[in-house]
Amino acid sequence: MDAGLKATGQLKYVDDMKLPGMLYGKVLFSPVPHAKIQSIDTTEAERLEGVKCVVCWKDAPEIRYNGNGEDTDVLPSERVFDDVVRYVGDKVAAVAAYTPQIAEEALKLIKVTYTELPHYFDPEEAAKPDAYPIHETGNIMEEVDLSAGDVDEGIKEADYVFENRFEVPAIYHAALEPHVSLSSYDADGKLTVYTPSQDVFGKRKNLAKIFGLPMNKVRVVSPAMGGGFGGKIDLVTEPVSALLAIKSGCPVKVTYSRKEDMQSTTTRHAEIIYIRTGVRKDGRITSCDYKVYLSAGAQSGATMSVAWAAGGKFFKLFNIPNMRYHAIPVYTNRMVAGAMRGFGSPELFYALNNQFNLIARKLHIDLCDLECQNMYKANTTDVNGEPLGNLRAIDCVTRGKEIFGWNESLAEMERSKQNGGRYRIGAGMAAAPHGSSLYGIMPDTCGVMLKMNEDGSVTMFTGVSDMGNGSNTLQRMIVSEILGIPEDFIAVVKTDTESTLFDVGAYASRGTYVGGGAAVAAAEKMRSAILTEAEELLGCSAEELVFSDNKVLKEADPGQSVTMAQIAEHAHQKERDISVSAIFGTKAAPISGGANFAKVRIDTETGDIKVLEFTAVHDVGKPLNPLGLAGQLHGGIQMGLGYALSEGISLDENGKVMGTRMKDCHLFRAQEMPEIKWEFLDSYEETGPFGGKSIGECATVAVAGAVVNAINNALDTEFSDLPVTKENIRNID
Amino acid sequence: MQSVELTINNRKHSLMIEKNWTLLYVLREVLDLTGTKCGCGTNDCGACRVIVDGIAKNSCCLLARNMEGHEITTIEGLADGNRLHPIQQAFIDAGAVQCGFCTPGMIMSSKALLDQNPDPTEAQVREALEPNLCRCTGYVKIVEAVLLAAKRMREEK
Repeated sequence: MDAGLKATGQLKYVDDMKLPGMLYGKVLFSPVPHAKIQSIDTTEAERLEGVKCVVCWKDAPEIRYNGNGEDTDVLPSERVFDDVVRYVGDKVAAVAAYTPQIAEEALKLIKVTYTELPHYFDPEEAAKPDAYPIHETGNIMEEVDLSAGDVDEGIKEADYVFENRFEVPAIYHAALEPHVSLSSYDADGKLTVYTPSQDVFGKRKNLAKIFGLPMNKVRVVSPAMGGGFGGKIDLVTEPVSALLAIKSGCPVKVTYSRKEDMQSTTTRHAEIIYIRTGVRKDGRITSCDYKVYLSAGAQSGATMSVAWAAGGKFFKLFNIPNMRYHAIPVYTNRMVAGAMRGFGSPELFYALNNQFNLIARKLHIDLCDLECQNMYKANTTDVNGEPLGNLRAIDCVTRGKEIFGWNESLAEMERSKQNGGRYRIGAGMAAAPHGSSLYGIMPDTCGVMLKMNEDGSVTMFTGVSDMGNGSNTLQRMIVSEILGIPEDFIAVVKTDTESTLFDVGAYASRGTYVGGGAAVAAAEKMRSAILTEAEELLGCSAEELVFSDNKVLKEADPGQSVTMAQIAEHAHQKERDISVSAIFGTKAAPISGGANFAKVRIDTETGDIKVLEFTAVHDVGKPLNPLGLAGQLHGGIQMGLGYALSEGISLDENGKVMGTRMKDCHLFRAQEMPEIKWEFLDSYEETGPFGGKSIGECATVAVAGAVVNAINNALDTEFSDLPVTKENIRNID
Repeated sequence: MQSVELTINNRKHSLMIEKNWTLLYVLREVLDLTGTKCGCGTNDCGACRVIVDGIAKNSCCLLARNMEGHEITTIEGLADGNRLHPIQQAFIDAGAVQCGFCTPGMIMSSKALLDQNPDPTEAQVREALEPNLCRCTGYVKIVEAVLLAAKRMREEK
């Protein structure tokens, strides 16, 4: 939508903005993993020439909040600054100064003494009854225990029982744009915060709560977002820039350096997963008992939502009569874990697909057959009775096999094993579902307003956050399609709590389904307002009229038409205005799904793992914007490849993130990417806008499973932990 | 502070700078040329790439005081008025732009490549983009965009 602005460098991201009199904020971070701040002395920093103000826990509001907008009232644990620090990188104090250099200098003058407390990086350790509490409420947050059938009975019906343990690391979102916010507080007592945000309304709710302001005095605007992936949902720098702005009376911008971003923002959860699965000789899975420790990090954040959401997905793909999902979310002394593309599912479906691959090998059953045998067919309900909609997971597997050349790849793998040479070829697959909204978890609504300008062009107001994934583009396409008004004649005002209607935020791959649904609802309303004018102008009934090319015309006699400009003018002459708003509320949570296939080449001498080919086939309902869908899918694959092979946050023995540079994150670069083949089924979701449902998160959920299964199949190994690296390969006995 | 004369997008700028200021800092903070982005500041991501004497370089690792006498081109220097450079247009047409934060740097790497080699192979494009990280696209559409731009630019000649 704004690709031209981006390609010319004209789009103003928040760090590109300056306000008159703006100060630069810098944050002092904790060097210790868990400690009480014994003393903090900011006087010298305050005296430094060019420093406007310094804030620490003594200046911060008492209120505790949950920085995740969806969970603002769930276990509020965080303060803007606290007198306890809970991880290396936790916020200790902040300075606002006339230049970033002075602010940096001032940080060095703040004197802090800490009394260290026991710390835990491992959630199983932190969950022990005698562990020192990281928060007063104890280290275990709230366990989630969901069951269908009876897993112990299911085990009795099984011929084989498989028990595996998986450890997956925390993952850094690594959006190319680091976290940043620019806050101002004016003489009317109004706080305005510019921030690249996936959830402007959630952030407004939290900021209003923290600073005791009514929502009409808090404005949160997301002018542009340089990547989100879940990392720009929770509050990060916003409360700090806001506090500095309130205290100083000047606008303050806080921009995290890459190192700060890597050590003090949010991550995907590190998890320890245990799965016990019973299976009959014929491959029918009778029982699946899944237990996971989620390392929540230092604050509550989105962890409870992630624990619940993954629990929902657990039941959505595999038709297993006896299933149990038991999540134990635990505070740990590391960065706050939260939403990241997949919201618990990349971990879950990595582990399930990995174990099912081991089962298939032991039983000498093709993994595709094993998975399909245990998958839901379309238009059924899951084991809890929840409708799955038209989820065509089995068709994704079938089509993926053809495109990838599954049987040929397996044969190639066998040949490379028999040759016993230096290079081994491996083939693997994995499948996963994902939802398209928050329906069933919380009320999920989106509002869109449309106003027609005097010349018949339109302005769309939408609260939907577009982080480059095309949500606003799709909304505009939909309005254009319904009104026959070309996209060039539709302006978009977005993600401004002051001018756009409420939207839940960019969670749950809901952009297409919910944002698109709201666009349909608003456009239908405007269509009917336009028809009122057109009926009068053309002297005929609405049923006879169609919309096309900026006109309303008689279907039977296209020569008889009125332009949108004439429609707008007519409305004004009649003292009317064409402006509408509509709210879309979800009535279903259709499940998308995909099957991924990977071919790898492993150098058994160096350990190098090269992904040669990757195939992804997805059911996204009706593919509405093929170019945008492909872009989402490819990016999801890149992220999943990193999850499988190269990414993951490691801590040193003191809890400090190892690596301080972007290169230390080991994101896949252009030359490392495999050849990607992809297809979207020609499907249709009855409840979706023009038949569409989600892609965003589903794109990444199955990737790591496919890749690691390929490695395990090539080498007859049972790698379970992520990532699988060249060192792992070299250390094979 | 020291004085320096920088030539950026064919325009000379006489500036007073600190000796440790990077070219990126001067572009963004002094000249308000914010099309060049800071993604890491440590020479790892390519979001700050500019072209210096025909070669794409990360401006976060160049000291501004060493840039005197060099021809510097930034993303703002590519379009001819409102007419986009063919590489910019190709990025839009191929769907290579998602969040857009890596885009200016990607385009600068691409321009340096195509100025040197108007008919690159896909492998050569990927090699030229190796310094540039993208977290959105998996590079597929970006590579397509560069090849599309190359084709269009050859046809224009």
